[in-house]
Amino acid sequence: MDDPIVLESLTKDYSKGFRAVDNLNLRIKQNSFVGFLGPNGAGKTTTIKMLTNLLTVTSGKAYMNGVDVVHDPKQALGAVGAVVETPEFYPYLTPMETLEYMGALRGMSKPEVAARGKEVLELVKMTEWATTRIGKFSKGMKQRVALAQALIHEPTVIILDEPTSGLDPRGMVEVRDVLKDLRKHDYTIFMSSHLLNEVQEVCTDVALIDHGKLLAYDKVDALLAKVDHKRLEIRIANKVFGEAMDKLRAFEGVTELNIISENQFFIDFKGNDEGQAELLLKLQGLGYKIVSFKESGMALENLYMSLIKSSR
Amino acid sequence: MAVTSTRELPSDLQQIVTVTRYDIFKHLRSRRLIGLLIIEVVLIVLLLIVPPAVGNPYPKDPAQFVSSITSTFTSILIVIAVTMFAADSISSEYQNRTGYLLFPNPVKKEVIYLGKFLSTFLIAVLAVTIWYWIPILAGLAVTGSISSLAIESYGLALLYAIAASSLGYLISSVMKGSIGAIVLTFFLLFMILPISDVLVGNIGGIEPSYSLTYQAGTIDYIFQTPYPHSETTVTPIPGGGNLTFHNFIPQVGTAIGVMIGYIIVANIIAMVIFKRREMVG
Repeated sequence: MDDPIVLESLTKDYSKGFRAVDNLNLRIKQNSFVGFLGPNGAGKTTTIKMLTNLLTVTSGKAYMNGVDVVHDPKQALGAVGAVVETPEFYPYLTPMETLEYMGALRGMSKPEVAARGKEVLELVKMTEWATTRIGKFSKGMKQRVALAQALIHEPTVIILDEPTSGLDPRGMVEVRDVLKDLRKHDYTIFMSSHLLNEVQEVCTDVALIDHGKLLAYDKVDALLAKVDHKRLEIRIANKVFGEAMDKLRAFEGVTELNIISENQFFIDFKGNDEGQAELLLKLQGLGYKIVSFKESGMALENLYMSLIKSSR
Repeated sequence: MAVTSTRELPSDLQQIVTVTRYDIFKHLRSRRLIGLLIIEVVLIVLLLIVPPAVGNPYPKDPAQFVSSITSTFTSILIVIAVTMFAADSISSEYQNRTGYLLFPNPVKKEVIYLGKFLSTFLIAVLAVTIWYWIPILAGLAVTGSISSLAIESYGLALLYAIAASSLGYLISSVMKGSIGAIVLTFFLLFMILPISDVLVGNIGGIEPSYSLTYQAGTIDYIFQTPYPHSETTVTPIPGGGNLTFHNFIPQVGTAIGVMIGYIIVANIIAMVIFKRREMVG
């Protein structure tokens, strides 16, 4: 069992018979950054809570670095750093004291925590707040401290549960920058999210889940390659005119046309890159002065929506 | 930044010490501990100063000297301490969501429980020790000796504080919210159990040996020489019939056994509940 995270038929039933995770099988490869994607209530957080010993497992197995989380949570979580939900901190401790506490629980000496603490607080851009009590910190600041404590002991596996959830746009960008930075290191990262752009931006692999079941699991690029349906946003310098639009609707691959304003419209297009380039030429041939011609929305979103739709 | 593999984890015992250290740190920073100790010292100073100031001389007997200071407030101080340091110890991790920070660490739930309980135990020992030993030493200065009865009362007070803390931890493990745990612990020890002692014992005629607050009565009774014994008073009611009033006196040996029983049983149940409790919501 070489993979750092292995889920075998993992199942979680809540009271009243609600099955949150249903026979989930997943193997996370070493040094991959896997986005665990699904809509609200899909079972992402429940899976992560079982992995981090916050919830009991109804049936199945969860292994971290080859150790069964249910039978030996202490050893299983030994080389794991986790940020689950939005943790609250002990308000009377400073970030550095929090790191000392978490580090001590993991067997780190005070000088070791001091040196490493400096590194991780710098990584999450919290150095200047290192000795300020956490009590009054904003949610974004707390989330960055949460990331720091997950990294303090130099884990091999990092588990993140919607790390940008509830943050303002600036906070989201800051946390995402930290996540991108983590990719440069040899961590295995398993991150739940319902934000498609976030997953596409930072992850190498994606596992799609809905109703507690795994729908797809592959490299981001491989999944994107499967997507041949795109929405194209076109902005023109001249005005939309009826005759050209009728012709446009008849072009191969065009499945839908939405006019937003006299200078802007969307095309739902089914085809490959070659066909997309051809479409641009045809638009110009119709007399449109193209200002901008780009894919609108995320390709992953299209795949996500079609998979979610078919699973319901 | 190098990424290394698994480091050797500390033993359970080392982790218990770590949890204890930071829990005591919490109470120091939150000023709860300092607040309680200040209340204790102010009370002791007042009880030492006021009687001679109003013309009541100090008792000549060292046991009576200590009893004159401690007897009124020992139980209530212990109830306040338990409410402050035990009642929300577990429930706050859930309600305040700090459990999301602490529980995903490689630490057994039992270790977290024992670490927290040890911190409460140490605080209880500190609070009870200050409450008894300032009067005992003041008594030594005034009467020239230390009473063994005062030491025995101190031991019983310590045992009661630990047993009541165990009950507080049990409530904290069961209750969802901190406020509920605090209110229930306080009223259970301050009102519910004492009222049941009266109803079951004095009126019902059944010795409430099961009751922690009843057994805690030994903390004060032990100062009396000879040690009092249970008695039943029958008072004739005009117009016919009798009013029977039972005055049960807990025995020291039984009290020690019951309090140790509370410590063992409450902590085992609390630990099992805490271990099985899920972090939801």
